[in-house]
Amino acid sequence: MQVGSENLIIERAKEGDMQAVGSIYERYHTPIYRYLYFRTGDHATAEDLTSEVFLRVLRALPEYQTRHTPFQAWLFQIARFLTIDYYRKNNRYQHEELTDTLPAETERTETLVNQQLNAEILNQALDTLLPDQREVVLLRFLIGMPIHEAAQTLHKSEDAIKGLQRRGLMALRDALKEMEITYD
Amino acid sequence: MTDLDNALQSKLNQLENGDALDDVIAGLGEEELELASLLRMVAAVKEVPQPVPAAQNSQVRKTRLLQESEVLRMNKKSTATNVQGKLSDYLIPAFAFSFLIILFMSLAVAGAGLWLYGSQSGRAATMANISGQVEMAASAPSNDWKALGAGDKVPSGSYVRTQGSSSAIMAFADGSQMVLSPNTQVKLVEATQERNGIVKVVIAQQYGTTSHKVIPMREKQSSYVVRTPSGQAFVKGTTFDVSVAQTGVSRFAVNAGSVLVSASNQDVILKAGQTTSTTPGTAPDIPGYQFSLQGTVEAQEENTWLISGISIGILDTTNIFGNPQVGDQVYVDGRVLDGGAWVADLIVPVDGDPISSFTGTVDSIDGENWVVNGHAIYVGEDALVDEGIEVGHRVRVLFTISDGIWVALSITSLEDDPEPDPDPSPTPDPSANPSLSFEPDEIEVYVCEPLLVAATGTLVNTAEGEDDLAEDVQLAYEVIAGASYASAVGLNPDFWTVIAPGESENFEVITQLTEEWASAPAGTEVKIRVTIASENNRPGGHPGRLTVTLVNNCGEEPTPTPTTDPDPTVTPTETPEPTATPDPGEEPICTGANPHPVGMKLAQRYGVTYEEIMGWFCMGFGFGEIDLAYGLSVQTGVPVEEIFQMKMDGMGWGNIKKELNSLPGNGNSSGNPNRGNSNKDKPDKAKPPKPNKP
Repeated sequence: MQVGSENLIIERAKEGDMQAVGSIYERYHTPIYRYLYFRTGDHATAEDLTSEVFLRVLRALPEYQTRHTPFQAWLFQIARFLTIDYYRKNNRYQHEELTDTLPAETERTETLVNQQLNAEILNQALDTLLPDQREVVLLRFLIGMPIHEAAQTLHKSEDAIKGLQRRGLMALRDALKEMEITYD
Repeated sequence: MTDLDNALQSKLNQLENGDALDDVIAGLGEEELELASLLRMVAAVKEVPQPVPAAQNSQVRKTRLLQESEVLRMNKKSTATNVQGKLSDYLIPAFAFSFLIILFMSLAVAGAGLWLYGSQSGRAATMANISGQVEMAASAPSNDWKALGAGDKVPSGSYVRTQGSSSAIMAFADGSQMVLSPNTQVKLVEATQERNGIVKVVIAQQYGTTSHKVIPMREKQSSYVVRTPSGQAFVKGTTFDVSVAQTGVSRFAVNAGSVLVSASNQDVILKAGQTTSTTPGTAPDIPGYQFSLQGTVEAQEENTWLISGISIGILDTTNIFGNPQVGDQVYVDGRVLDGGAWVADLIVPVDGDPISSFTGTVDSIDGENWVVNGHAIYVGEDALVDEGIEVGHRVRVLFTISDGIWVALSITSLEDDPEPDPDPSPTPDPSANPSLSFEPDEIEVYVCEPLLVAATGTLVNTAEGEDDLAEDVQLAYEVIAGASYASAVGLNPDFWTVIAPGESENFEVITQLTEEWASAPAGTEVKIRVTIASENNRPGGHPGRLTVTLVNNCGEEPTPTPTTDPDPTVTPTETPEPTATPDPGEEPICTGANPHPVGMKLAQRYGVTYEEIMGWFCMGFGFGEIDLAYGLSVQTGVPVEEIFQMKMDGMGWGNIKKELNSLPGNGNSSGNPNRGNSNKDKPDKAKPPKPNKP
């Protein structure tokens, strides 16, 4: 979707055009779901939160102004804060959940034989990163967001994103190495 | 950011552009080889089959979304229909036709008005977030004050004032904003945005407090200027506050970016966290770092008070509310002078938790023991600390004093702010031979009033060679006659990075004349000489100069006789309050001072309304707590309302910080002082409940 045509669709969606709302959903629901999966580590939770993100987007759409923030960055800001709300309301923190969902040590050793990188392993490795690093790696390489949009989504400068990007990738490399997946 | 960060991004760009991984890695320099494994991993990550939502669930979600969309659309339509319905209830058939005629005519007039208005929309400011009594007049002093509402336009030349407990935002065409605090009056001298994108905003602040958020200006001819009776601030994109006391003493405080403050032909540059004061007829004070301190008065001498163990200097200009005594708790707003002395600009009695803040430079970092501006700070695990702070960086420290120890609650970096010219000494280009001159080289302006005069000069590079670029051109000025009538002079702009051969650049010579000018003899002159202070490619200098002469023509034309206001010298601060009788529907006042200066300051700092801050205060939160909550909201992105709720639920501030730190997306989960979230956006504008008596 080109930026110009996207802006048109957004304007139509603001007016209540259901076809335009449907187009926005079709365009973005998979990347939003993907982001939420990697933030929560759970398919069902990611599905529920995806619904909630789009409902929030729909209600907030009349206030959205294209000149302030790229639409994708705005969407992911909503998704990001929704995740924060989710953890807060459920009175649980991501690192606690991580501890619960990680396999036991012996179990892990067995599964590490002949490891191939897949979404589940990647998710486990991502969870060892510092939160800011994880956000940047997730948005940049799993969602494919350009540097400037990641900066706007996370309210940081582009230089800050570049720094977090390199440190995040180094941390991810080290985490994967511990899982016997190396790229040296 | 390191070179490797940039190198990695460059290589990632190549991958995104379709270059083969092996080719990209082969192109790594020796010092970049460590990036090879990262690039291989990125390529592998992108190949990982991504999780996708179940198709059936996606369709269900889409259907729900569209249903919700339809409900919202119908509600909107229903609201409009209801309005129409109510109108029709009042229309009896006999009058229906005439009503429609009147309606049509009204719409036609309104349409014409809108068309006219639209053609001038770049020449006015728009009011927003009106709270309380906010008024506009075409000229001041005037009795012709009219109430303003949200969306009202304020044309250039108008005066706007806020009454007690009132505030408003004035928004400009480029998105810049000025917040007017209670009891403030400004004149909007100029607010224009031309088709070529050049923005010019000039505000004359007569009294009160304003807070400015200026959008970075793309066009070098753009300017945003705030003038006060004792000085003026020139900015290109920043956030800063200006307070003007009844004496004309002005305080300029910069929150982000940098601001040039000029007074009596002297300039100072304020960086983020710094403040200065100007007094009529004198140069600006040397910039000092801001501090806000809340503590107990332990001793009082004539020029020095001891507050929570800190010696605070009291100046003639210090604004002291009430009569604080030893043992009282006070809030102090002030600055740290060059020699390290702390002096107060404002002292006001307060209640609540003693949480304070100051800005300064990091002297040393030794684990949990930091020294900032010579003060030892304990930075424990609970402290929220921005990422990447190093010795020498400018920071804002929010702290509390425990057993005489300054314990950091948060440390925010001020280093991300744009700095002035990063390369002050470029190398001259020997092949360039620019020739700069002023055309014309003399300008004469006859003026009685207004007392703020702008003369436009033009600087031309008359060289003809293609390479004869003039680079880093800096202008300077000197008042060579009638200096006693000029309280301030400014050049805007006064610097260009390049003026190509044959190109010309306009600039303004802005002069603020003293009030004595209006009573000086006709023919009195103020002369200002503008010269080229430096230019990179002609080290010998450029001989061109411009002389601007302001000639007094008061008395040459009869001055209009005032009819409604016999005393034009009346000071605006004598404006009476609109009503002394409490409105039964008025919200209860629980502040002690009205408006409360600390509440105003916090409202400005966080870009929210005064009423919002006082709402929390009236619920029993101290100003220190409010400052802390909004600061946490800024850093973590959690709405401030939820942070206050956590406190109301019985959590201590330490635990609240821990919990917020632990939330995903907040990079300070371990409390490591060198990690953190540098998000400096405004907090969510969660509304507190209406103020009630605590």
